[in-house]
Amino acid sequence: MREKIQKISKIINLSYLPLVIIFILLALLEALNVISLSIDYRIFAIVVALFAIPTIMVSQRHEGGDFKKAMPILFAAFLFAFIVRVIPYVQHPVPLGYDPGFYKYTFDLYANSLPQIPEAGLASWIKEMYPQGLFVLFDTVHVTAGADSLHFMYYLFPLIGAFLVFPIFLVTRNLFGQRAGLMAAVLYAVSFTQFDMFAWFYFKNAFGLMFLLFAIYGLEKRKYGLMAVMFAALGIFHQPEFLLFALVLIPYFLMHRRRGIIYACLGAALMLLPFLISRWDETWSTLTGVASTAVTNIETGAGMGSGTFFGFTTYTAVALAYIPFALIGLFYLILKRNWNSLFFYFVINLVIVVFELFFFKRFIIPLDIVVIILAAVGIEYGIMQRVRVPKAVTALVVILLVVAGAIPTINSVKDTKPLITEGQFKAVEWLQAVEGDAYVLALSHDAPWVLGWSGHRVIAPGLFQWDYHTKDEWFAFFAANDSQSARDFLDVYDSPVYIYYANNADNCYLGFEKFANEYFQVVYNDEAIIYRYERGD
Amino acid sequence: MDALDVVRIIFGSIFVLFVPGFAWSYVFFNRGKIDLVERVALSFGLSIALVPLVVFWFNWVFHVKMSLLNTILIVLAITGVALFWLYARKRQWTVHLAEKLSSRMKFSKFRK
Repeated sequence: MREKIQKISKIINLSYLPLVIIFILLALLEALNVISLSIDYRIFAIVVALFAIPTIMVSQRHEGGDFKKAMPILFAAFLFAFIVRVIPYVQHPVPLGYDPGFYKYTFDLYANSLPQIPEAGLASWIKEMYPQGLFVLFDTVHVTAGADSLHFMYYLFPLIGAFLVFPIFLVTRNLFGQRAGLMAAVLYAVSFTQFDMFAWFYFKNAFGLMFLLFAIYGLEKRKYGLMAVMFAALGIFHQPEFLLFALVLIPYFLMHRRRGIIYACLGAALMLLPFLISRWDETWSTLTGVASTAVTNIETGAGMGSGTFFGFTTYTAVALAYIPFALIGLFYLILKRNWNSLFFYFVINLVIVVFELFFFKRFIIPLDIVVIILAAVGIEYGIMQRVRVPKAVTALVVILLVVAGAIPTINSVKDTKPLITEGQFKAVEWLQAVEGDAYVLALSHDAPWVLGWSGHRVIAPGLFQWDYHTKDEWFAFFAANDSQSARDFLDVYDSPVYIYYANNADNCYLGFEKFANEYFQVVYNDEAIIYRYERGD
Repeated sequence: MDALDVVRIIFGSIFVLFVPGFAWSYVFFNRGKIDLVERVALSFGLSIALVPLVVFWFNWVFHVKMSLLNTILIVLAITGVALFWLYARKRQWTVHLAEKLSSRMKFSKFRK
């Protein structure tokens, strides 16, 4: 019996490396759209990871040698991450994603309220969407350095996205050695998911990931003061990742029982006090909203409140190249009984995403970070430390893996475009010249751009504080063909109303017939059409 | 934008986004304990975390307005506290304080 087991183990051990090479080649060919086999690659990934078990059982931590030799790779990863984030802005002057208008408006609002922080007078949608941290930081940089909102959006955001290479390297190196750290940094730089986060303009997310990684770094280094600062910063920059780290701390504390964690949590709570008190209603409604969404999703499987991002199935396709190594990394942690914070981070984040608890699509972004780290661990302990494997083969496997991971990202860099065209953006900017007290009516697709760049109050269905209509009234307005209905709808506003339409929606549900009369004048007609309406008294 | 604005943005950004964290990185990690990349990365991370926390605290508790002078003073204060801490640690003040605190607050069930 024992002999048989030994034989099976030997066969598994011998088959492992060829399987890895076949998997990576298939993943590469799939990414290049050359060959796509009708097999489930995820099952193949699990098989590869299971075959790695005999290898990782005998592997040990490797510190990875001279740091000076690692520096060029680390900076190459930083440079690559920065370049892929800058290229879309060189190609298109319009910012990417749906959110830039929201950010620009809020940055400008904070800047225009100086020397005060406009906490009391903020609209409820701003309080719900944006914690104070990023905007107070912006105010400080604006006052001290003279940087404006566009500097922040065009320069700081790509820089922060690329800068994440360093915290991911530090966290991984601290726990698993330098080679694993470098691998994690490189995988982060080429990750499609992280690039897509950038392309959607999830500014807060990038800061959240940075603080999350530094908080884990502080926790694992037992520097609880550092952890407390980063934990508090998570709370004022990005609350989903704050919640994630808080959830990670519970099992971690129960497992390790270090009193420093209690002090750190108390310190973080103290630092967060003014931020929480000043927005207590919003914080409470967010918490209850998250809890009720999770309960509803568990009970009904409705998948409500997912957030805008791709789903888990797409994620397994775009991260296919490194998923088996992440599983190997996970098996390594389990086999070595290494119950560190990354283990709990992975499990909790995976549960949120797979069981679709709350905001689960957006939680794919932090999930990708821990998957990258685990993949680096898997590569280190499952490939690099494997005895009797020539260095050339190891290098080839790693290079093929990085290339396979980078292809979807490089393709995406070429194809990424802003959601509105340059001509439509010019039309929005044209609105800056109209009467200062005017309103602009826009559809929800265009509303963030109009809010950020027109300099006017924006009326949009279900958005912002200037929408005085119910859902039914909006539908009636869209469906109406007669000018009287349109005028009745707009007459609640006592200043001129400009109607902006950029033909972005799949169907033109605004309906132009109601504007074809003497009450509405076409004042701009290019890639977008703008009507002017003024209430007659 | 003229050259002076560019210079102001570069040095102003370094002053806010790097200097306070750089000082605090020495509070958490003594000289020689971490390498240069670690120190620089931590300096940015700590600055971006500490500056809005402290600025908002000052504004909320003391109603300090965000003028240029006040903001510079706050950033200098964050840096100054770290430098004072380092000076005190050099003089062993913080060791005595920590010993006193830990003898008063005992969590015997938990490890350090």
